[in-house]
Parts: sequence; structure tokens; C-alpha cells
Amino acid sequence: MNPAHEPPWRPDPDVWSSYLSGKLTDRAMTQRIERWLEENPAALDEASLDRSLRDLCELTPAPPPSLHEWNVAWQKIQTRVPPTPWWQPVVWFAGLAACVAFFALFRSEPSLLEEKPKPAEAVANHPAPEEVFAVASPDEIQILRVEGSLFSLAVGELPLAGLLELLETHEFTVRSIEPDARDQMVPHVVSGTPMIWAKLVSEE
Amino acid sequence: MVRLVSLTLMLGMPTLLWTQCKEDNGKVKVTVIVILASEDGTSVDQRLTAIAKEVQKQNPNLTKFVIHSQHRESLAEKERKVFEILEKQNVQVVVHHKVDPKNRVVIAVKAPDQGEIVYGTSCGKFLPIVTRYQTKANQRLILAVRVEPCKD
Repeated sequence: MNPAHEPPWRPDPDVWSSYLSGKLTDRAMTQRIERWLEENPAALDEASLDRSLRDLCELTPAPPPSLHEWNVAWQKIQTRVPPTPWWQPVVWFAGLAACVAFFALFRSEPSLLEEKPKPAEAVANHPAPEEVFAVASPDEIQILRVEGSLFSLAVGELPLAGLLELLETHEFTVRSIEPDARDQMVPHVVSGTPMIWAKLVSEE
Repeated sequence: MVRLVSLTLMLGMPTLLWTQCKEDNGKVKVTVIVILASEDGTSVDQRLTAIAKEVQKQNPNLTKFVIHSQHRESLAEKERKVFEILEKQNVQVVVHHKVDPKNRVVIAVKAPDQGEIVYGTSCGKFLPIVTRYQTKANQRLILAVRVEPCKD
């Protein structure tokens, strides 16, 4: 590579700005910039112009905003800030309460924090006793419906436990019998042992 | 939390059981036996000998009596219960009056193919209701209805 084709050195804009404002602390860089200025009159003129502008600014400072202007600006800021949602304090309070409850629970029940043994380990350490299957007593079983002609059950009581005992005449009183909606048929009451009988056509 | 749940169960379960017992005490237990009688065969379920004898007085051709199903339900006064029995047929029972000083209960029974029958009955024994309904297998539907409990 031929050095003659390289662009001439020029300080970085940030470094150059720092130098012009007198804030550059790198002594070696400061010396290099000064050598560069000696070799570049245009840059020297630029530096002189910048110093003149700075001096001018210092001589004519902008007046600070008045209290009224600050208040107007503050009001504009407040109108653009979204209001705090009503539920936000509730969420904070609930979260705080949950944390307090959580720590109170584990303080009172430290065993909850202990790692529980895995099932296999638990079985190995404490073999479970043989499970005893509780048997319901007849009083605890109520049969509501049974299909078929069962005579007995292992547990519980059938609706019909023994013989089907019929009512006697003095134990039965008919209050009313409605006719059938389709053909007005009215079943009759058999005398003797009470029984309601709806006759078929073949029985009439 | 575990203590709270345990405390709730300890207090709640007895209350629930007490409430359940109290409700049962005020109810009438209704039993419906579904019997099928037919002319094919002569076997009679030994529990049905009494009813078979009475039915045969009216129709001697019915010679076979079997129990199809048994139903039982505790009903409060004015409570209606529909017992699904067979072939999409049902029996409706309503307790009109609970047991009175004469130890009688008034109930209404609506059997298949007939109107409602209202009658007063003593506890512990069955009333046979021979219906007109015949199953697809040509069996005659007979119901036997009982109410309980009886007073001592």
C-alpha cells in the first residue's frame, strides 16, 4: 500500500470538539492536534471561528424560564402522563399479603419445606401395612333399584326381603280411580284380598 | 390451610349427616315391585306365591310369575317420583298424606295404560295392581306397591 494515497490525518469529530471546548485531557492527542493545526491553516481558522462563537455565546446567555413558564410546562407534562389504574394498589396489597401469608405458613409448618422422599424411597423406608378394605354394614347400604329376580345380596337389603305380603281388606281404602285417558277404561277393585285389576278385552 | 379444611370437615360433616337424617325421618319409603306374569310355563317365584294365588283367581291362565325389578325411594309429602320400569314404561307415585294417627298413608299411583288411583293404605304390605300392559314377550305387567315405615 502506498502511503501517498492515504487521506491526511484529521482528529476524530468528538476529539476535535473536546479540544475546541478545552476539555481534552489526553496530552499526547493535544500535542498531535496542535502539530496538525500548524500544518493546516484552514483547520486553525476553523478553531479560531469556533472560539469566537463560544465567546459570543458566553457574552449573550439566554434568560432562564420564568416560574410561570415552568408551571405551564409542568401542567402539559401532567396531562400527558396516563393516570394510575385503580386496581394497581390492590394488586400490590394482595401481593404483599400473599408474601406475608406464604412466609407465615412456612414459618409455622417448616416440614412443608422439607423435601419429601420419592415414592420408591418411602416404600423402602416405611413399607405400607396391608390395606384393610372396610366392609359396609347393611345399615349403610340402601338399595334403590334391582333388576332381575334376586333372592339375596352380599350386603344391603333388597326392597323385597321375604314373601310379598298382601294387604287385607281393612287395611286398604280407595279414594279415587281416574279413567284411562285413551279409552276411559276404569280398573276395578277386586273384593276379598284388595287388588286393582285392569281387564284386557279378552277378560271382559 | 390443612387445619382450616379439617376444621370445616369436622364441623360440616356432622351437620350434613344430621340434616340428611332429619330429612329421611319426614319421608315415606315407597317400594314398587315389577312382576311379569305369563301363560308360558308354571314357575312361580316363591316370594310371589300369595299374589300368584290371588291373580289366578281372576285369570287362571296366568301361570308363570317372575320378579322383573325392585324399586325403592323415600318420598316427602307431595313429592312425585317416576319409576322407569321396562320398555320405556313408567310408574308415577305421589305421597298425598304421610302416615296419619290411624297408621295410614294416602298415595297416588299412575300405572301404564290406566288412570291414576288414589288410595289409603296401611304400612308394610303390598297392593297388587294388575295392569293391561303386555310386554313384547306377551307378559302381563303387575305392580306391587308398599309404603313404609309403620308406627310401632
